[in-house]
Amino acid sequence: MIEVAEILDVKNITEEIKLKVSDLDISVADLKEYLSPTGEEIPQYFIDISNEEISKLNNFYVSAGYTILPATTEVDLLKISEEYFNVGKEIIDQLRKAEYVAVYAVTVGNELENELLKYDFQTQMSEAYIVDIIGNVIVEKTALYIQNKVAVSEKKKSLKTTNSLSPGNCGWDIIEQFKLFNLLPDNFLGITLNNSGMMYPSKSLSGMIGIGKKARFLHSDCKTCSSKNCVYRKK
Amino acid sequence: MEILEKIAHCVEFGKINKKSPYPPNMRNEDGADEYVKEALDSGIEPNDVLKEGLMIGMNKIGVKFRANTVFVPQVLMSAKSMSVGMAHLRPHFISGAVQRKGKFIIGTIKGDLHDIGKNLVAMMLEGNGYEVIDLGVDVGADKFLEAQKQHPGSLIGMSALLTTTMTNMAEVIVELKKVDPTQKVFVGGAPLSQEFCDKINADYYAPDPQGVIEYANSLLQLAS
Repeated sequence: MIEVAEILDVKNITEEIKLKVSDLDISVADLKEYLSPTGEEIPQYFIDISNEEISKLNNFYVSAGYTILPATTEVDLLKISEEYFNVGKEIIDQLRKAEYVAVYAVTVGNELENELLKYDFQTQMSEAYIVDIIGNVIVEKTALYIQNKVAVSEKKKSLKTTNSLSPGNCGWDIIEQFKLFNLLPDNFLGITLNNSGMMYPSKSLSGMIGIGKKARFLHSDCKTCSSKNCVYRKK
Repeated sequence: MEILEKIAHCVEFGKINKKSPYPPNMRNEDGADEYVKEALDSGIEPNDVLKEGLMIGMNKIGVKFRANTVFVPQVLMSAKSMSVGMAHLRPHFISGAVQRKGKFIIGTIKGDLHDIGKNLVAMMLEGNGYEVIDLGVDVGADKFLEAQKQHPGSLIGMSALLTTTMTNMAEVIVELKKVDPTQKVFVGGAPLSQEFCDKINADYYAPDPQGVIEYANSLLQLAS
């Protein structure tokens, strides 16, 4: 059997991608989980605003990129390039069988971020709320694009992938964002971190996807998250 | 239905004005805009329009939101109905004919830029008769202290969405209570809990906007 290390070229495999928002094929249906978590009727007013804003935002671009690195687990810690991550029980269990991880980040970039912040919540609350949600959907779908790309690419090498796992979720403290970005090239995609580990532009997402012969994809969603009162929670 | 009840009903169900097609079962009916104007024209006291009409509707939607029977879009429609009604009351606020319940200073804590939750709370406080002083996002102790100085007797609320920023609340609370040991401080946000609230010596942990309003109202009752 061919060993994983032989299959993967682990050197210089960082890939950066630019996507047009229209390529993500965003529709009102993507917003429904936020707008109406239990299937309540969404006011037509919101559907109209959503369609109008999606149409405007379709002309913008988003950036994404990833690098693949060897990973091991030591007890309950994840070790990548001499860096130890305390990712929490749920995530470490998903990564135990991974031999590599794709470390990724996606961002809407400054231009689109400014567009997403154009409405004042106090005077145009519905519009401001809708574009905030669209911003979330844009980064989520871009991250999904990366996840699929990694999965398809690794499948050709007979390798499997886990789902995407991010700091700030499932017990993985957001402060570890600093370590995650240490694994990526400097100024990766122009994303910067503040003292709290929050990314700028704020509509950015980072994470890891486990890769290995026995890696398993497990669906995880809001139901498993402990932030029961999160305003973004899909009930 | 009495006109004040109609106003409350319009706010509760998000019927802004006659032109608005939402909600579908109230299509072509008058909304908060028309009813508030009609109530004032008929001589009903502006204070009653606010307290017996608009605020009742806002309170009802807040209770539904807490119970997860409505979601943010419905709350925003209610808030919009409330705000068009409030526009008719604005001159009466200026003249002093309508009094606000009190002042509420609010902000997202330093290091954090998330503001949707904070904005929802601010919007519902306004709809319940409070004057809101919104300090925005990434607010440190200095800004909270300055606002506390400018608006003595105000209630103060702060929110955080990150585990790394919620810890910054502790320092701000210490500083605020140094200036005024009786200062009431509300905290909220996804990663927070009652346990954390107790640990940092905050006065109230609000898992939802309605909780903030109910606790603020209870403090007013105690004060009177």
